This record gives sequence, structure tokens and C-alpha cells, in this order.
Amino acid sequence: MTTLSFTNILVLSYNSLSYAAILFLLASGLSLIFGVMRIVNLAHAAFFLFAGYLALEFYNIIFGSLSLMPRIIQLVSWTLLYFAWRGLNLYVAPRHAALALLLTYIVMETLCSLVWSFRFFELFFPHVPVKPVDRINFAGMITAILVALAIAALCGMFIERFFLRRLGQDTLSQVLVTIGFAFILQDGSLYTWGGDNFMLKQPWPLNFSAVVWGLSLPQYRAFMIVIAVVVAAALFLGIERTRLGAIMRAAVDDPEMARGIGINTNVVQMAIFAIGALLAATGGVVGGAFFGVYPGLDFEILPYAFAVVIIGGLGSLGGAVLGSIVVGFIENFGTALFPELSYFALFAPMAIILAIKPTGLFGKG
Amino acid sequence: MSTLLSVEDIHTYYGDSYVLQGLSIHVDEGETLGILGRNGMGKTTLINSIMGFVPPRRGAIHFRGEDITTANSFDISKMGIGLCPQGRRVFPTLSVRENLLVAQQEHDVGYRWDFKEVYELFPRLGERAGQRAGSLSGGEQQMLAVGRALMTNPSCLIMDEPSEGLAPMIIQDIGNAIQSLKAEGLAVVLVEQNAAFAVKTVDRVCVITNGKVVHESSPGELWANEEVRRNHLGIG
Ligand SMILES: Nc1ncnc2c1ncn2[C@@H]1O[C@H](COP(=O)(O)OP(=O)(O)OP(=O)(O)O)[C@@H](O)[C@H]1O
Ligand SMILES: [Mg+2]
Repeated sequence: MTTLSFTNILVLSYNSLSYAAILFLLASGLSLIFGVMRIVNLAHAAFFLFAGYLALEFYNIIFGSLSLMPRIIQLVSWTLLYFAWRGLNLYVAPRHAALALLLTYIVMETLCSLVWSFRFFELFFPHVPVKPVDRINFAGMITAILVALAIAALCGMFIERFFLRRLGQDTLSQVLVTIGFAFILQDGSLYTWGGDNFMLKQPWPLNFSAVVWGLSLPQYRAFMIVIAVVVAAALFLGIERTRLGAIMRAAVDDPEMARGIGINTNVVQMAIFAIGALLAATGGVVGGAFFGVYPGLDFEILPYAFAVVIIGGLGSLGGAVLGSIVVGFIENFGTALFPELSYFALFAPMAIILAIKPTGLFGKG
Repeated sequence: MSTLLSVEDIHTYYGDSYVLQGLSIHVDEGETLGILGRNGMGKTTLINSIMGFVPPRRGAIHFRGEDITTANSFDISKMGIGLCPQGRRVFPTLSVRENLLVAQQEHDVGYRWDFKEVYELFPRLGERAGQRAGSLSGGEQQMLAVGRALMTNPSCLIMDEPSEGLAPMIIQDIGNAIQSLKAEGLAVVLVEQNAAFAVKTVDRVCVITNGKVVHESSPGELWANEEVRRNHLGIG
């Protein structure tokens, strides 16, 4: 075991807090979705990674002049597909419409590869080769973040509306669907952007270290902490102090009764899922300049998010804050003190907390 | 008088258990209808069917001429049916004020019911506006349940056993509130076990046994009819 000097402890604490910030952004969405919808969303970390890639692509578009053409083609293809689906549904049953589209797809795919030698599939999922971007500024970063968030939120809404809503409260189907989407997003990202490791560039003035009392502290880490604090405050105020927050809490207390007084719980659930995806995406974009963006990052970080919500208690915002800080500190100090045992250092306390208080430190039910 | 709500020969099941077996009722505008019947006869199931919680498998329900048989509960509520359910079902973790807030709906026409009016009807709620609804007494929760239903500005108010488990004094208060709503011309469906309370309040009564209406009359006639009282209400 190594011993730590006082300076080491200060730096490690700073690192732990900034790590906790990213964990909070990821885990709060997981916790929120579970609290309101009783769904354990295994695709949650996939949104984290997906948003990192989206931000990377927008950096490429804004700063590396990547062509928008594949995306325009993609958008047109999906729109045409949607109208084909709607049109078919006017004349035949949905089952037959799906079959007709599937057959059309097989024919087109064969035709395209034989005659014009390209994948028909590429119209819907184009390959977009991105490169590392070195020139980046604050405004560009914010724009990329906002676009990535919007797209991630839309994906979340889509998954809730067309898949999860149909499953009701069947836990096994929920797990299977969300893990299915985790793989779809993961492999889709791999196909689209390739398998390279990328680092999102930190814009000026965040790409420097501040020197305090002779300690060199990267400013980007402070930025992560600020973002997490702002998001936590916004979430708290939104849930506890607004009418929409009250509607969400009512829908948790008694969903049937909430519908009976005019609350459209379908819209509430879709909004929650979108907010959850948005939180994960924020974590992914902000964290993308810290962890990097690479295939497998999602499944690497998901256990930490679960550790946070299990320690803090699923469905509790205060628990997510506390859990992230606990996990952030254990992870950083654990790695420094017992490098070979860092997983053990983290998951052993988690198991102990679960054994003593199965609902987590802050858990309700 | 035109018909506001009509339930036409509905058959409702919970899974395999066949509860409403061809039940019909109707409520006219401004009328107060009492629904009586012993435990487990299907009164709450009727309300669940109207509200869309448990839609009937056969039959139809119309409200203001529109078919609401398989409509979503939240749309039914927005069309003007206010529910004050059995067991009150206030949102326990929300404050009194938030319970009212979440029920408030957007309307083109002016609101009759807003916080001020609800607090006037039940001053106790105003005094406890910031308190968690789960920590209210039974009577206060009942007032909140009524106030919450009124916040949706209904044209028909459904109350399922509002007197259940309450002290006579509080039942009196709730009864007075119903009378004043009636005087305003609000149509009310009052489901009750407490027949003595119901007959004082309503214009017409239906008695339900085993998922069917077995008797329909004015409250006075029901009170005079020994046989129905003994066989279907269990009071001699
Ligand atoms: N969720 C449910 N699942 C299965 N059966 C149910 C359910 N709710 C009610 N029942 C059954 O349906 C029948 C009618 O119940 P209902 O609640 O409508 O009675 P009620 O007239 O409202 O009685 P009470 O006066 O006790 O409230 C009863 O036999 C009851 O056991
Ligand atoms: Mg009942």
C-alpha cells in the first residue's frame, strides 16, 4: 500500500469530485427513469456513448468541414420510409405492411449490391468517417452539445413511444428491449463512426490547468463539476417546485388516479425518458473530453452508474448526488491506494450497503 | 332535461371474473343520482368502467352524446367527468396545494373552480395548503379528493363512498358541500353504502345487485319499499 501526501489527497479529492460530476449526470437519468417508470434502462449508458459520437461528428462538421450529405440522404430515406409505412397502413394491416417493406428491402439490397455495388442499408445508416478535431471553441462546443442532446432525447422518446410503452410492466421484456437497444446503439455507432479512439477537444479557456498553492488543477475538471451542480439544481427545482414536477410525482404516487384527473401519463413517461436520455447525453458529451469516446465505453461505465444508484437508492435525486460522490471518491482513492483491487474497493462497499439497507442509503420503497 | 351520461348495457370483467352483467344507468343534466348496493355488488366497478380504468367488454358509455366506452381516462376527465374515488386516493407525497394544482386543466371558457373557490368551500384545506396530503386526517383527505375533482371543472361529479370511515360531523360537512354543488346545477353521481345519508341528498336512486340494476325510483319510494331495502340493501 502506498501512502499519500497531503497534496496527493487534495489532488485526488479534486479528481474524485469531477469524476463524481460525470457519474451524477449519467446516474441521475437512470434513477429518474426508474423512479417514475419502474424501468431499469440498460440502454442508458449507450446514450452516453452515442452522444459523445454525435458531438464528435458535429465538431467535424463545424470545425473540420465534414460533409452533411450522408445525413441529408439518411433523413430523406427515413422520411420516405415513414411515409411508405403510413401509406401502406391505409390499405393493409400493419403486419402485412411490415412484411411488404421487409420484402422490398431484401429486393433492393440484392439489386443494389449486384447492379450498382453499394449497400442499400447505407441509405439508412451511412458510414460517416470522422477525424480528431484540434481546433475547437466554446461556442462550437455548446452548439455540438445542444444538437447531440436534442438527437439523443428524440431517440429516447422514440424507444419509449414505440417499444417500452407497448410492454407495460413486464420486467423481463423491458430488460431485453433496453439491452437490445444498448447493442443497436453500440454497433450502430461502431458501423457509422468506426472503431478508433477519439478524444473530444477541450476548448479554450478550459484546456489549461490552474495553479493553486503549487497544485496544478485542470480547469476542465472544474467545468465538469459546475455543469453537474447546475444540472442537479435545475433537476431539483424542476421536480420539487414546478407544476410539471408535481405532475410527475403524482404519476409516481398513483398513475391510474393521475389519469383520472386528466394527466396524460403517456406524455409524462415519454418526457421522463427524453430527460433521462438528455442527462446521459450531457454526461457523454462533457465526459467525452475526459474519458474519450471509444467502442465499449458504455458497458465500461454502466456498472459505475449502477453502483451510484444502488448506493444512493434508485429513484432519489439526493441519493444520486451522494452515491456519485461516494463512488467518485472510492474509485479515485481506491485506484491510488490499491491499484490491483480498484473494482473490489468499489463493489465491496456496494454489496455491504445492499446487504444492510437493500433500498440504498436514500431509497424510499 | 337532456341526458348527460348514459351507460348502456355494459358487461365488465376483471380477468375471468364477470362483474357487471348488463348494467344500464343514465344521469340527466343537473341531476343527483344515488347508487346503492351492498359490498362487492359492482358499484366501484361501474365507476371504473365509466372512467376508463376498466373498460367494459360489451355495451357502450356516452357522455354528452360522445362515445367514451374505450376512451383514455385522461380524455374522459378532460371532457368533464370529475372523479372523487373510493378510498380518496389523494397523492400522498404531494402537498395539499400541489394535489389541487396537478388537477387544474386548461379551459377556453372561464374557470368556475380555482384554488380560491376550493378553499372557500373547504377552509380546512386552505389552512393546510403546504402540508403533505398523506399526513392529513381522513376527513381532510376526503375534502381534498372532492376539491381535486372540482379543480378539473367537471360537468358531472362522481363520488364513490365519500362518507366511508368518517365521523358524523364530517359526513355532515361533506353532505353540505354536495348540496351546494347541487344547487349550482352540477350533476352528481353519489355511490353510497350509507343509504340514510344518500337518500337525504339525491334526486333518484338505482340499487345494484350482482352487477345489475334491480331497482330504480325516487329516494322516498325506496325508503318506503321494505322488500328492496331488506333484500338488496340489508336494512330492515
Ligand atoms: N381489481 C379487481 N380484480 C378482481 N376482482 C375485483 C377487483 N376489484 C373488485 N373485484 C371484485 O368485483 C366485485 C365488485 O367489486 P366492487 O369494488 O365494484 O364492489 P363495490 O360495490 O364497490 O363494493 P364496496 O361497497 O365494498 O366498495 C367484487 O366481487 C370484487 O371482489
Ligand atoms: Mg366500492
